[in-house]
Amino acid sequence: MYCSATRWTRTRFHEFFRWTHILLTMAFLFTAYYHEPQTLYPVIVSLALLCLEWLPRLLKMLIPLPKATTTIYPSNIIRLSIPLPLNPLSKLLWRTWSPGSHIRLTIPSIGILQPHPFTIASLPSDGTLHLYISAKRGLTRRLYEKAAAAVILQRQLYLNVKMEGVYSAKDTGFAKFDVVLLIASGIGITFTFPILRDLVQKAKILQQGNCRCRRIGFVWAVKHESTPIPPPHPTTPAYTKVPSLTVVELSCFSTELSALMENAHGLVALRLYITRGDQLQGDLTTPTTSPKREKAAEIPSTLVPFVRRSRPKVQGLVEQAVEEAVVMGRLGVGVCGNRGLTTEVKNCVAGKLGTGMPDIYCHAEEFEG
Amino acid sequence: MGNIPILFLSAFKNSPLGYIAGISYEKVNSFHRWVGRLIVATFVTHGILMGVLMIIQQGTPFSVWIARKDVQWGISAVSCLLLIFLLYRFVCWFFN
Repeated sequence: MYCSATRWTRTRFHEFFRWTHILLTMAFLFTAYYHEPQTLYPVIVSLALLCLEWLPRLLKMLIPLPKATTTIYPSNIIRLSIPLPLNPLSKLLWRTWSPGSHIRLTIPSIGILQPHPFTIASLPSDGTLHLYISAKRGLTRRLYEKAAAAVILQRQLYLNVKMEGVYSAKDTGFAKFDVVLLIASGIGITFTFPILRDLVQKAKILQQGNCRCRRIGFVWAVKHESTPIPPPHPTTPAYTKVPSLTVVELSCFSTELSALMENAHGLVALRLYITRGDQLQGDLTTPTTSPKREKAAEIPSTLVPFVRRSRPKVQGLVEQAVEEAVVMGRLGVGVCGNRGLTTEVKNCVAGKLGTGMPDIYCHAEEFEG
Repeated sequence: MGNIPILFLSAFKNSPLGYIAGISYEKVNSFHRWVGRLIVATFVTHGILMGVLMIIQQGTPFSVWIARKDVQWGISAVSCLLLIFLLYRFVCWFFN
């Protein structure tokens, strides 16, 4: 079993920690030099290495990219689309990511020197890089406010963006597992959904021989927004009555998911869980800056049979996947969610290791929220 | 001080150490933290032992020892390291 990737960058203190870390390291190097001038040599070696590592990254960031456009979805989710140029250089640098990778994105007009990591929710074959960003605080909140202002002004927002590297875990090839279990909660679907699409494409449409996947379990848990949405703006018509089967967070992925499911009969076992979130995510919009809310989309009828109204029973899901994998072959588990979910999945997988399965691959990504 | 280049090497996002060992950034980062702990421990021990050597064994008065420029710089360097360490602990504690 191999667990990796804690994404703890969303903590409030990360920026503070980063800057103090850099400043104190510099202070230490200077004081150490005054204490004993011989320490200059290791320091020079270190700084040379640092420059060697930073220069390519810096150069890569200076490459101009087309402007990104924003779309606002319910539940404070912003979609950032960056169309990728077709020239050979960009093909080499950007268009070859593996599903589930992330980039470090800098938006100079919102926060300079503030690269934030975001998971890429599209595939290289799409030609566009989609990032789904859940507005929390700090940079993402400012981005949301800017996008919302553009919606009010009925203008398309074009943002200048800089990207740094496509980073991925060293070993994310889920195609080599016979049974794959993908579990996500909330915005975590940005990690699992491209992997699912990639696997379905490889197994069903392209019929590639090197894709061993024969069974994919896809689990997505979202919070149920049960309270009616208040009228967002005095001038917009109020829709105080929200149909009971409306899941706000579902809307940005549910249509894509239902289109995908038509191609994937017999391969993908889909489960959607609607948990009743105890506390709803704080609505970021204030009356003055709130956009016209898009009407929350209903769940497409093809997805309704897969919806359950409970919390996902991780133990049962993992057990089922293990039972299938004992017959079929290797099992790979991918999970992206908050700490509670990832810990639960890791514990269940660890608990199952001894029982008939010698080896389970488990990749966990974590976010706060 | 020989550890410092290793510390820097393991702090990079595209670390060559990661390529050599075939491990991800997160694993290299945990290695980076361990090298950091080792360095903090080494320098703190160095400071304490030098103090013990000068004051107790060689009988130098504390006031004379602390007045030396290199001792003062050394102490401030170690406090920088300790501050880095404490801040890291603080961030961890707050995060959990």
